[in-house]
Amino acid sequence: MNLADFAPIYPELVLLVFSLLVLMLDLRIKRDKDKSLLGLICAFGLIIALYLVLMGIYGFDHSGQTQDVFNGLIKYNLFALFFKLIFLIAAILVVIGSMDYVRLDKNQGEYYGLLMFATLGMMSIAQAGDIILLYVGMELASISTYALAAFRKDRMNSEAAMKYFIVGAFSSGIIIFGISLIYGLAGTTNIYEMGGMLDTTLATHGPIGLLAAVLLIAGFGYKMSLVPFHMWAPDTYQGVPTTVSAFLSAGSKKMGFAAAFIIFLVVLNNSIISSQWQIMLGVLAGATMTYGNVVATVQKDIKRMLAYSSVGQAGYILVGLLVASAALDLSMQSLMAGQIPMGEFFNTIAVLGLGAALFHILTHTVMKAGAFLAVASASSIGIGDNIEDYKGLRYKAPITALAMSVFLLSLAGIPLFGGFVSKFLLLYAAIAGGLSPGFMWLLALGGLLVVNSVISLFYYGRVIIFMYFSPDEGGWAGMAEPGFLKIALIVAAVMTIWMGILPDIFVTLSMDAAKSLIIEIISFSPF
Amino acid sequence: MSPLSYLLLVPFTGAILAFLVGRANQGSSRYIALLTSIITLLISVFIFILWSQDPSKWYVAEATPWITMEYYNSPLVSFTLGIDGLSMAMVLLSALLFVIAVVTSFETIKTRVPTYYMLLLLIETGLLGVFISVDLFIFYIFWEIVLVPVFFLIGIWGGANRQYAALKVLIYTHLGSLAMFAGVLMMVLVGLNLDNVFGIRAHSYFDMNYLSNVMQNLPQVWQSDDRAFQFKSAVFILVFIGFAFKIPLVPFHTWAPDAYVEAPAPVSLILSGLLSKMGAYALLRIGMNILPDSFQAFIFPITVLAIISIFYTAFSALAQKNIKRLIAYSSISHMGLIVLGFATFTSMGIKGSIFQMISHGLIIALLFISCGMIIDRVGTDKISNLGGLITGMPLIGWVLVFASMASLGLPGLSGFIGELTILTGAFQAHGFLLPSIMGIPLAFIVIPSLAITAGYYTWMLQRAAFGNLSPDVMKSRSAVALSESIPIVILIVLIVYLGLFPSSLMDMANQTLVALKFSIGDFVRQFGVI
Repeated sequence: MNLADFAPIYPELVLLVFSLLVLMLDLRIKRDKDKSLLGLICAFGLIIALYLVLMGIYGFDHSGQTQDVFNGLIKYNLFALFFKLIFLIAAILVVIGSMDYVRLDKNQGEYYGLLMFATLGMMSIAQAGDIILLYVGMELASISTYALAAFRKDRMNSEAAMKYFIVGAFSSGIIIFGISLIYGLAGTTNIYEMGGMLDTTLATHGPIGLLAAVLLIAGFGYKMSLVPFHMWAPDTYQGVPTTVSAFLSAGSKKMGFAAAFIIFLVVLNNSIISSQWQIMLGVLAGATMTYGNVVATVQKDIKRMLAYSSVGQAGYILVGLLVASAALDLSMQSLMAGQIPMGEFFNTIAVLGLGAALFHILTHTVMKAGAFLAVASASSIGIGDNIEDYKGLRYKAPITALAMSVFLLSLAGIPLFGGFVSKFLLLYAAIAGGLSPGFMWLLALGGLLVVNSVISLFYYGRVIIFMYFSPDEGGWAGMAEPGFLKIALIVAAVMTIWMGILPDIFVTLSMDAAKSLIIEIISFSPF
Repeated sequence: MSPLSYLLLVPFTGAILAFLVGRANQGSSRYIALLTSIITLLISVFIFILWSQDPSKWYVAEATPWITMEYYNSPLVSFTLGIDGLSMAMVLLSALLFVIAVVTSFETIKTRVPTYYMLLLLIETGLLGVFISVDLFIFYIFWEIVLVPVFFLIGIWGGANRQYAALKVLIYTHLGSLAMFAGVLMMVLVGLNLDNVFGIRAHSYFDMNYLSNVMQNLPQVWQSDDRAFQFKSAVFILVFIGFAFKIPLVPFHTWAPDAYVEAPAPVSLILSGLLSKMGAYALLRIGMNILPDSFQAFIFPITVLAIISIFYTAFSALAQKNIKRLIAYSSISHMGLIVLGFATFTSMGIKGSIFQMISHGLIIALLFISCGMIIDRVGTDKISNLGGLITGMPLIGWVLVFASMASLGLPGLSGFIGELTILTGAFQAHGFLLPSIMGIPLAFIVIPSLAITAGYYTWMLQRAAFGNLSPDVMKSRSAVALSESIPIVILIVLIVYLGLFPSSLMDMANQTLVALKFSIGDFVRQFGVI
């Protein structure tokens, strides 16, 4: 084994080195005020990792091949790289914003260190070829974020962090229970081999498989904050420091999706049990987007509102997952019946569904991180977290108000912003899946997506009304917007608009990423 | 780049410039906006001259792939622009009305001037984009992007109840647009990769021409007439909801009176004169060009809806105490007539509706301008407080009288020609397509609405223009600034000109029918696969 064998995990190694560096330098810097330097170092490390990931993406072509690393422990493909890209973008935006937001706090070294450890954990999930790696990565990320969440230690913060910790630990327990059942059925920890093994054992032990599926839905439901497992999310997002909310919503939640995609599409997409958990997940998806959006309309606290909107968006993303899984089922059936062209057609729909979900994850990461950072920016100049407090924000913090409008309009799915294109692709995938035989209910999900999109416009629009349509209440004597947060907001806003105006490169990347996972699944299937 | 892209590029650049330069020097932004809108008008006239030499070749002027997918033969979405008779007429109208809106804003808008002109020019970009895009995805983007500046324009410069009105516009029309978009997506998904089967060239899978072909050939593709018909009906219902919100038709109209009333006069002019035309335009473009047979199948409900819309809003107008609200309801009532013209499916009725689209745009602009001037000066919009406009401010009073007369269809003015042609079409269609209720032809039912229209206008004039001179009117200044009078003169000249020489516009409407593959004189459209 030589150094070149480690090329696929260079970004992770860079993160590891830099996080240790940050922790050590923390001991040398005495005054809290000077510790923004740690943030710079942290950002530097993340950007190097981002560069390596981008070079990795550049090295792949459109064929969707996968490279086995360390005997299949790591599946190095575009799917993994795509998620690494997302986590790094989230982390970079949050770190840049944090340099202002936590500038005066204690324990900044730990803050940045934990942030990098969490990113490291998330990045290892997307490339997991072995379920142990997946679980360990998830725990690394979770435990780091538990500590991050309790960063400020005031009463509200502690309560929020405690809630997050208990629910998180509980859900990890449920997940490991589900995984152990699956392991018992399959006899291997390799995720991709599990699928094939389950084909034989599930014929006799179907109910156990179903029980495992239910446990995994519940466990990952907590991580993805699906209704009815979402209760922790609004309280936590509201209580923890706003930059951490941004990181939880933009990064940690997407980790749940990365793991769920792998588990549900690779392991559980088995014709014996899939139709049952698909319906379950479909109902959850519908409930999640409707509940999240409806409840968001009555929120008074902007962070709670964004949290509920985030719950709603999780429902949208699930639609893509469901389309992919339904199409994979149909593809397997067609291949079994020897209809090769039909199977290939359904594969394209599976790629479309998964790709749409991936693209929405990307846009949502940027928009949500941006929106929470805008809240951080507003609160760092002394504006409260109530939506009412945003009255006349454009006079007090013009850049924040403008960036916030971009994120909110994008979240609502208004054209020329990234959120529109990704929502379009999700709707497109839902209709494409719904026109396939036996999956009419996907059309209903598509319809719900449209209705919820309109509902969401109400509460997003209300914030813009407060920010822009209120008269100037006289000179704002407070501080100007902090510089680093401004940079983070501008970067996020530019990315949001870029993904809306020239989406082709991002769409192609998401589709290629989806394709690499689907091809890998097909190649492990018995046909 | 074809000249069509300049139609988008110039107003967009102007918008940015008006904002940036305006920040340094408030006053300059209005002149930049004026210059931009005039250049845009000149470009559209230039395109008109080029286009009229050979109308056929302009249908697709340029196409650039925008979203591509690996498994598809053609791009999923491409940035495709084109123009035909209908688009040409709408482009000219929009470019003209924007010059007028900008000039009108000189006197009315005093706060946050640069932002205002930026938003106004952004609407122009979006509207022109709607009228010249061939790709339905791009069409939808422009269709939706218009909403954002409208939201801000109403919300910032609107009247007392502006926040409510702004949010209502945004949510209602967004709901309609999404329904339309879902319908379009269904068509696109059916049409994927069929270009190989037919050997047709698709610029993209959202290309209107391509979708039109796919929808015509759907029965052959699916080998089932019933299934194709059901599918097309479902699509038609979805897209029609989108148009009905925008036009607006009763019962999808509730956002419109609020928006028209709360918006400042130049924006009301754009809303009622152009944004509602987007709906009518799309009805013709998508409803009639892509889904003609479903349109025919739904003629009865659409006609009934149009008639209900005409009467309901006419009666509402009769009951209004607020002059701007009266004009708003009158505008919606006239839009119902336009939909009725389309639903006759005769070349006469459709030509009449196209004519009426332009004529209504001009007349409603004049109405909102004069009404805005009155409200600005007198400070009230209650009809009862406006008595004696003719004596108090003769010039503006007579403009209001002229505009009302044009709107109620006085012969010799453009409104008359449009209504007459639509009604002729409706009578022609009777017995062939338009059904009847209890033996009474539907066309016949519409006639009394003209009397109601005349009723609410003359009653309003009697109270406002010719009544006793009210103290409010007596106090207000009657002088008219140059920037206010220019748009009024232009509009009056055009309304009279179109009333006396309608053939110039009718020829263009004919061109539209040709583009829509109607053969003139044919009663019902015959399908011909290209």
